Amino acid sequence: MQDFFKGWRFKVLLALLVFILAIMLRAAASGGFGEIFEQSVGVITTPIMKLSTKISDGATEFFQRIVHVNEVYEQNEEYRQKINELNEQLIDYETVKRENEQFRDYLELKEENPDYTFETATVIGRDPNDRYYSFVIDTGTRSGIETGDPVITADGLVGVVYETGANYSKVMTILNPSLNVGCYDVRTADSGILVGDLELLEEGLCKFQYISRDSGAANGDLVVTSGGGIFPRNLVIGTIISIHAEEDGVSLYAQVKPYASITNAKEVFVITSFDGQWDITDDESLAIDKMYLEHQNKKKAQEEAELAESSEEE
Amino acid sequence: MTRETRRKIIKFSLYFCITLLLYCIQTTPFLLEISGTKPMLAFTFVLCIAVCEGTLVGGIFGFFCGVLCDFSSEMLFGANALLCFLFCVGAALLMIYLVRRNLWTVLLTVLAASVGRALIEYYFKYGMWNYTGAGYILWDRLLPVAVYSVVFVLLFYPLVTWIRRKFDIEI
Repeated sequence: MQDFFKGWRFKVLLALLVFILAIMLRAAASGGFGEIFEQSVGVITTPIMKLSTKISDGATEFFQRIVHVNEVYEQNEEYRQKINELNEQLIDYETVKRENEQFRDYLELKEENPDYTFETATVIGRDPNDRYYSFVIDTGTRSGIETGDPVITADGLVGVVYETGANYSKVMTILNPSLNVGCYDVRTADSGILVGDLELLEEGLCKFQYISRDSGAANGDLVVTSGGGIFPRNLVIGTIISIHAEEDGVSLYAQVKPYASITNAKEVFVITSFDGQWDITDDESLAIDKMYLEHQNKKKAQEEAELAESSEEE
Repeated sequence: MTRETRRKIIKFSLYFCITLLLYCIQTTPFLLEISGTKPMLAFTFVLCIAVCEGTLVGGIFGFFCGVLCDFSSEMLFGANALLCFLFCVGAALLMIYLVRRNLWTVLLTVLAASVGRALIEYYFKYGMWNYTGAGYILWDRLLPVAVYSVVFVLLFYPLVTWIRRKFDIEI
């Protein structure tokens, strides 16, 4: 040990100790340290520390995935649950929003037609094999719906109820050739019958037939129900897009584009009662309408007259 | 330049680089952290150098390690340099004159130095100012750091021994 204190190493260490004390005194006196010394250390160490931190962050992130996998799994489950809850809330929100829109339409219709009694309904099913876009709604006799009740949307006529159950009803649309609707051109007051047509089906159009040959009906005219039957008067149906002569030459027919979205209807209104509503029995066809009967009689009379002429010639 | 001198330069350069690297690692956030406790890698390494290389080399590297620690420490600049310097020289003297050098004695020496440093740090930073609840800092922060640092002797001591053997320098 004494050799150590006598050796040159001890002297060097002593000098170093003095140097360290001098540094400390200088730091204490200046309230920090010598900028040159500290900055020179910083210049060397800072880039290495930056690199080290970057590497460490990358490695930590990698290992954290493994180390904290249980935590992450639980958090994931928690978030999944939260997402499910939020999705349910979103569904509720969308339902409420849709109902709100429906009620707004209902209110508008009610204000325009105070004598109507409505029942709101949702389309719950469509038969994929049905070419005429018939559909099923979620309300039935329990809500006061009966066979023959007109079905509309805020845009216009959709069809009529043809079968009812306690909590469902089946609706036949105006695209169906079996359904005849008495209607008239609002501008010219020309009346006729609106029917579905197989040739016009793909385009979603209806046929407004038995228009008088000297009618002034033109493209763009509004067509509404004439009323006096199972449909109330002035229910909007659609607009005329073209007019043609019938094959028999007796009358004209027009192609009518319905305003209501027949193929995509989701929310509808069923008119359960209105002023002047007819009662439909089982024996009567849904196609019964005053104008239709009159025209049929006219046609029958014409045919009989032609037969009589031909038999006379013979 | 002789071969021996060249070897010394390379060896000390290696010590220098490793000390610097370990300092950067010990100051990297979250790296090697266990429950908020990080090891003093650079100090442990220079202590291993001191017990293997002797008082002068140990003292110089102790000073260097202390300066690095001062750079990121809130203590008076030079305080860590002084502590590291004194502990490294003391450890080297212990190994040379009193204790036979092997892994266990080095472990105990490093443990004693780390704990001693923690106690001194505690006293000058908290103890002498009579802060309330300062004991928590000693038991929950300073001493766990000291103990955690000692674990790395198992890595650093063989490393330093290997470097010495590689460069074949005798004290």
